[in-house]
Parts: sequence; C-alpha cells; structure tokens
Amino acid sequence: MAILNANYIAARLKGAYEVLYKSARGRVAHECIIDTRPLVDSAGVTVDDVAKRLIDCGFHAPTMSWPVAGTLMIEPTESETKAEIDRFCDAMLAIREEARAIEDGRMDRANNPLKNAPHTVEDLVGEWDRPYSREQACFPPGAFRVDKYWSPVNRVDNVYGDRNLVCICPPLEDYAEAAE
Amino acid sequence: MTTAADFTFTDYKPYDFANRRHIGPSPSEMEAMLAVIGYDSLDALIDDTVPPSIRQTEPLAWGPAMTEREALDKMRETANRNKKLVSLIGQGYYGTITPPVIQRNILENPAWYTAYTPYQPEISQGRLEALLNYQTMVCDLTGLDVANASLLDEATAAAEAMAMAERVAKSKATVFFVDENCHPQTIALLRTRAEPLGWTIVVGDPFADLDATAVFGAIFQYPGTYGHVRDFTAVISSLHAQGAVAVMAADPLALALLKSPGDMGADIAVGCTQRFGVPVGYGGPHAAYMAVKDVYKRSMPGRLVGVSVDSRGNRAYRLSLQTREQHIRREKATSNICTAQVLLAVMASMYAVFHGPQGIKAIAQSVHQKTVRLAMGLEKLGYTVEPDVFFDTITVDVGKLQGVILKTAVAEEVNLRRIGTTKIGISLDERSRPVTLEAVWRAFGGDFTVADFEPGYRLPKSLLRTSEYLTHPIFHMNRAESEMTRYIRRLSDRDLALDRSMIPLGSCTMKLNATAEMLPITWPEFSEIHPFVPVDQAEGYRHMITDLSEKLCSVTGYDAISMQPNSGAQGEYAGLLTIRAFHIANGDAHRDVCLIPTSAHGTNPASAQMAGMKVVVIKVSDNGDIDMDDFRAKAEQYAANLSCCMITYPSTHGVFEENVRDVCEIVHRHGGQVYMDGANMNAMVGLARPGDIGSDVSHLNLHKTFCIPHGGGGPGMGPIGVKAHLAPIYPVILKRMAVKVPSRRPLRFGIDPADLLELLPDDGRRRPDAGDKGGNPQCQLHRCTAQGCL
Repeated sequence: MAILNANYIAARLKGAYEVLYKSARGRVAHECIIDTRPLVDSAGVTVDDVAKRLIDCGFHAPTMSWPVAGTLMIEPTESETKAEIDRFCDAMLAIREEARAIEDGRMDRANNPLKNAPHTVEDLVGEWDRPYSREQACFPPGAFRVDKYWSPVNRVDNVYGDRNLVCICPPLEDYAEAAE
Repeated sequence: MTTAADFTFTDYKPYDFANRRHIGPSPSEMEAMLAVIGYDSLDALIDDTVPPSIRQTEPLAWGPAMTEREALDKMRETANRNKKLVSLIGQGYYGTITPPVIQRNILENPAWYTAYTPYQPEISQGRLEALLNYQTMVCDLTGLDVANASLLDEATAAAEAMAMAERVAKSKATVFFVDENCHPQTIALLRTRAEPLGWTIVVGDPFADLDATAVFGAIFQYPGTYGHVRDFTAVISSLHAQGAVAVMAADPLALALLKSPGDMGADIAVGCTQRFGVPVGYGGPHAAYMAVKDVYKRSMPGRLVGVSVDSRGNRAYRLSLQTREQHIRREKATSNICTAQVLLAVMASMYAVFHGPQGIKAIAQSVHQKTVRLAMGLEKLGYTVEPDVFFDTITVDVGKLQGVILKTAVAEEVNLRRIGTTKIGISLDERSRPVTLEAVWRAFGGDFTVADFEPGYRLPKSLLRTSEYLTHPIFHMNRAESEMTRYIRRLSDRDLALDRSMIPLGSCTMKLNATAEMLPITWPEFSEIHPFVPVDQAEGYRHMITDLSEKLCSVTGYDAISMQPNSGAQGEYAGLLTIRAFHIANGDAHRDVCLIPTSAHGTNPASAQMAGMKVVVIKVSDNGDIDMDDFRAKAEQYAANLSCCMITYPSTHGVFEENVRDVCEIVHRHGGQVYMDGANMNAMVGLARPGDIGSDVSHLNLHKTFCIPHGGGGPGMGPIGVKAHLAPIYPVILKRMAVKVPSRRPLRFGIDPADLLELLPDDGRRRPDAGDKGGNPQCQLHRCTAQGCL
C-alpha cells in the first residue's frame, strides 16, 4: 500500500514536476523524489519557497535537499487516505501554477506568495500591498477554510540565529520588545 | 416479528483493523488510484515495482490478524506477567511521579507524540519552546552555559562527552579516566566506544589514581553510584592544568541541593532527566542531557535549539548550528546522534515548569530526608551505613546476610540493589513512602515506624548549593492546573503533527501510530518496572521481546535480533561493531574499509567513523543507482582490507535497484560483509527480506516501519538483525554496548514499553484471514505495513 500511495503521487504530479529516479519499469518504491530545481532558473523559486508555501496549505514539507540538493523526497506511507493524498497533490500542483505565473511574468519575482510564505495573521492585519490577494495568500488549494493551520511565525532567519546564538529562554522583557 | 428475509446481510467488518482502520485508502479508493497509475490490480503494480529476483517466495505465516481488542487483551495478559514491586535499586533509574496533566496532555497526546523532528521551524514553534525550556533547565541546574536537547541515555551521553573531550582537549594523551563510582553501565559503554577509536579507559579513584598528565579527560559521577557526594573542584583544576577536559555525570534532582558541576569548574556535564517525571519503563526511553561551557558549544553533539527572528523581526525558535550534524559533515562527523528522545525531554521540561524551583527543591529535600531517616534506622540496627554524607543513595555492608535480606525485601515487595557479594544499595525517590521505609527496615530485621526518627540532613556543608536555578518566568507560572493544561495546549497548537495532516517526509515513514498501540505504554505493569529487577519479575517483557524478535526474524530473513540499540544510528553502530568483531575473530583485524555510496544516510559514514572504519565513498550513477563500475573497482582496490559496505534498500532515491544481489556478491567475494540500512524497510515488509537478498546485518527503525511514534524527534529504536555466522559474536559485543541491563541477563535490552508495545509484539498483528487474497505477498505488504507488522 505504501508503494501504491507513492506511485499514485508520482502519477498525479507527472507533468508538473519531474520524478527524478524510477526503476527500469518506470516505477518508484515507497517514496519518490521530485525535482524543483528547474523552478530556480525559471521563476527564482527555491525548494525552501515550495516547502514554506506548503505550510500555508496546511502541510509539513517533504524531506528537503536530501539525498539530492534542491529536490523534495515524498513518502506518503500506507496510512494516508486518497483524499489526504489528493489534498497534498492539489497543493503541489497549485504551487507549480504559482511558479508558472512568475515564469510568465504575471507575478513579481520577489514579491509573491511563494517568497512570502508562510503567511501569518500578522501579515493579514498589517498593511496589504502585495500583488496578490489575501485570499490567495491564506487559502491556497489544500488549505482548510474553517480548520486552517496558521503558522505562528513568518519565515525564520537561520543565519541570524547562528550568528547571535541564544540557547536558553530569553528574558521576558525581550518578549515585550518583540511584540512592539 | 422480523425474519432473516427482512435483512440484507452485510459483510462489512467494523473492527477490521488490519485491512481498513490502519490503512488509508479504502478498497474503492485503491481501485481509483491504480487506474490513475495505469494498473488493474495491486499485484500487477507490485510485480512491476519489486524486482522478481529479490521477491520472497513464502508469505509471512503469522495466522489470522487479531482485532485491536483481542490484541489489547493479549497485552493485558502479557502485562500481568510482569511483577510490579517497589524498586529502590537506583543505578541511574529512580521512581518518579508523572504529573497526570503531563501524562495525559503530552505522553498520551498525538499532537506531541506524532510530531517530527523540528527541522521546519515555522511549524514546530511549540516543541521548540518546550525544548528551549529543557535547555534552560539543564543549564541552570548544571551551572553551565549551553545545553543540547537531547541525548539518548546517560551512558551514551557520557560516551559523547568523552569523544568531545578528545576533540577539544589540548592534551594529546589517548587515555580517558573514569571514576570507579560511575554507574557500571556507563563504564561498560565507555569501554565499548573507546576501543575502536584507540583510546584507553582507566577506571579508578579520582582522588588516588588519576594522573592528570596522562589523560585527555576524565569523568566523575555526582553523586556516585554508591551514594558518595564529593567535591571534584581540585581534581578538575589539576586536569585543566594539563590541558585535559573534565566531565561530570550528574543527577539533576541532586543538583537542586548540591553545588553545580559548573561551580566546580567542569567543562561538560551529562546525565539523565528520567526522574523528572518520566517512568523508568524497564530502562527507557528517557532523555539524557549534555551541557558545556560556552567555549565548547560549537563542538557539542546533538541538537541545539536557539532563538532567532522571523522575516518580520519577531522572535522565532529553530535548531541552531546544524552544520555540526552528520547529515552535513558525513564521514567527518564525530557523532551519529540523530533520534534524541524529544518527547521525553519535553516531559522532563514540563515537569520543571509544573513544579518550578520551589517544587523541585522540596522534592529533593524530601527524598534526602527520607534517606537520612532510612539510614538512622539501619544504624540503630547496628549496620554501618556508607557514605557518611549522601543525597538519596546509601550502601550497607551486610556480609553474609546479603542473600537473606534481599529475599526478605522482595517478600516485602521491595527490590534493593545487590552490590558485590556483601553489600546492598538503596536509593530512595519521590515515590518512596513511610511504608516503603518500614518494609526496608523489616527486611533488615527492624520494626520501626518513621515517627521513631527525627528528620535530618547529611549533605556536606561545603557542597550545599548557593546558586539559583529555574529563575526564568516560565518556571514561575501560576501553579493552577488550568494554567498548565492551557500552556501545553497552546504550544501543541503551534505545531503541525500527524494529528492534523499527513507528513510526507521521505525516508522518515511518518505512518499511523494507532491509539491502541499507545495505550499499554502507561500501564504500570510496563512503565514501573526498573531495568535491573530480577528477571523473574519481568516475565511479560521477556515474553514480549522474544516474540517480537521471532517475528522480526521472519520479516527480515535474519537469524537473530538484538533489541538493544536506542535509535537507528545506534543500530548502525552496533551492526558495524559486530562486523568488526567478526573480522577480528577471523584474524582479519586489518579489515577496516567501509564502502558507502554518496546517496547514503548521513548517519552511515558517521557510524562507520565511530566504529574505527575508513570510509570509501562510492559514486552514484545518473539514475540514482550505485555506480557498479565504481563499486567493482573500489571493492577490488580495497579487497585486502575490505570490512563491509553499507547500502540502503530500496535505495535512498526511492528505487528498488535491480543489481542489489550483485552488490552483495561482490562484497562477499572480496571478504567483506554487507550492512543493509533498514530505514526503507517499509517498502519491503512481506515482499522481500534483506537476509534473503544477501545482506549480513541490518538495523530496523521501529519508529519508522514498525509504528513507534516519532515523538518530535524520539523515542526511536534500532534493533539489529544478523545472519547466523554473526550471531555468536554480536551478543558479546552488545553485552558491552548495551547499557541498561546487567550481564547476567540472557537478553540485554533497555527498552520502554513505548518501544515495544507499539509493536503489539505478541501475536497482535497477524495476517487477516481468507477473503483477502491470503498468502499473496502484496496483501502481506498492505496488511503487514498497515499493522506495523505486529
């Protein structure tokens, strides 16, 4: 069943993304690697952007950049229903379309739903000056309307954290500053 | 009156867990999905996916599948075969009270136990905060600057500290000194880890036998395994004077009352947070900690949660300094730690949040006072109690009475620690009650009540703690349970776990952790068994582990299974040590080359390095398969020194490689052994067996294929399977490697029900009966993996 689910995902994403490795008979095992590297050149969209946009859709990203840099490795397992897998595939296909809009020049290369993902409530209540709607930002295909998962933070800056290493609970006054 | 004719018979089975409840797609969904892929049956898809050359010919013959209810009944019977006594054995494992608010809302809550390792920080803010609390707690208690979250157990944490000491020490010595008062399992594991790397372990009295000029580091237990509370400040200074590194293994509860390792000058502190609300569970899983001085933070193994900002400049947590980890550094990595007992670290941190510094201090004082009372009673009976100052552990020399006292204690439903042939050790904990003390006195021949003794203190005055701890407001929240409940809920609401959506992480196998599999974990007959109880008290565990081993043998085609390794990475390490021992036993100690394809999991080269092997990297061809020409050439080139190859099957690229048998054959022809990483076993269960394909050793990730939850980054379990020719060797290796069970035990495992019950080992997971294409391997896969092969 795990093999069925993985091959189903590979089949549904065919055309939108290339599945990197298949057996001689065109089959994948229990997981598949899809190539998001072409999007870097065509739309400036990185594997990170895809992963963070999946959060807006209510998903945990697949394994990133392993074993091949710039790709996503997807393993659905046998536990997932067709509906859940379809929701995931719908999200992945919609992300491909968002990248296509950038490729076609219909969407800005720097200010777009992929680069700004994940979107938070903070984004919504603030000034909205983006070339796409709040609706598109927060309710992409895959996202639930009533049971929407809201990311508690915007994209995290890893470099900042490594340069300014703090590994214990910060003092409370810092929390107050952050809220300002 | 109705008759049968009034009803349409339904063959729907509401309790068909094997085929429906534990599998995603329904029969009609399966049909629709197959149509999209272009097949008319699952059999045809599998035939095209799994090469015929490796397919197993016989289905797994486990009989019909049980319902969950039947399986739970069976688990109940198994649980009842364990005898639950009060264990005062100590030796690193202590009774503790898991606050129910933590048990129900964390340990038994899928929002926490089904989460993945927090590599995607935006959807992991809740558990990252809990882990930051853990690090803060550890830093405070140890008096050191930076703590990780977390390590597997105290013994492996000590080994990681030793390896780190070797890296950072200015001293170029190759000897590591180990305090004779370290727990025996820690000493045993340090020996195992040191040997392949060419380091010598010297065990002795730090105040008499330690030559600081001859060592790169030393470890001291605080308090010692027999109860001693000693000041290591001077010894540590002498180490520093020689450029050596000082490690202290410290009990976090004792640190609530005692001068911290940091205040004594220690560079590294390690220990186990089990007694912060995590049940002993026959030895695990529990979170170990490591804390270091600031200067060493970049050399510290394990995961480190840090504070950063998001794109709006708001505070956000994430894992720091990941470039230290083995998935980046590979064969240059110095640690293979990956799975890290996160769920248990979260529990321990919440215990500290729940109690706060006042609570932790009160618990520590109460444990100490009870121990003083116990000592007073024993002294009144004429026994000499050692040491004269202690925290919670005392040792009594009883001479020839040892046997009779231990036996009487068991009759009083109390387990004490047998030390040598003449001594008895007793460790009290927060669960110890007046009746417990009175039972111990009776076992020693005394008839007292606790009221007969005034409370007192026997801590060394010079070592009383003066520094504060748990000062952060998070440890000072209102003590009302409603606050605690909401705090835990608030954190879990920030996270995305399997209870909200699929987690399609390749190589991680984030599958259903069925609720029924989780239920027995908190049954006291499993959770309250101390790892060092007499074997006859752990009959249920023995039965369960034997049964699971047999089933895993039938799944993998191996001849023997060891349940010891605490994680997949530990399993790899144990498997490689077994191969190493095999070559040494054959007079081939020089065989030390390990071939690893570039596509391998990062832990593979890291484990090989730890096992003292030289890693030779094999190319991968454009289609993701092993480059056979390169493989042949390297195998030939290194034939004289070839130890083994490490391959993953199906490959890490998600493909069943057709040439896997050739790979095995080539390695064997050149005198090497084949290690097949079992991380992708989920694709094979019921269809193919590593042991049949030509592999000699594998580990299995029970937290992937076999349904143990990931817990946000642990617990995990990595049992290894070996072929018959390695079986005589591997228990010898594991005797030293396994940390939790004394050598007299036939099987050495230190595992929690969490590690096993999820597997419903005892016949719980049998094949469904007729009507499901019984006997066809495809069906086996879907039933077997659906059931986590239980």
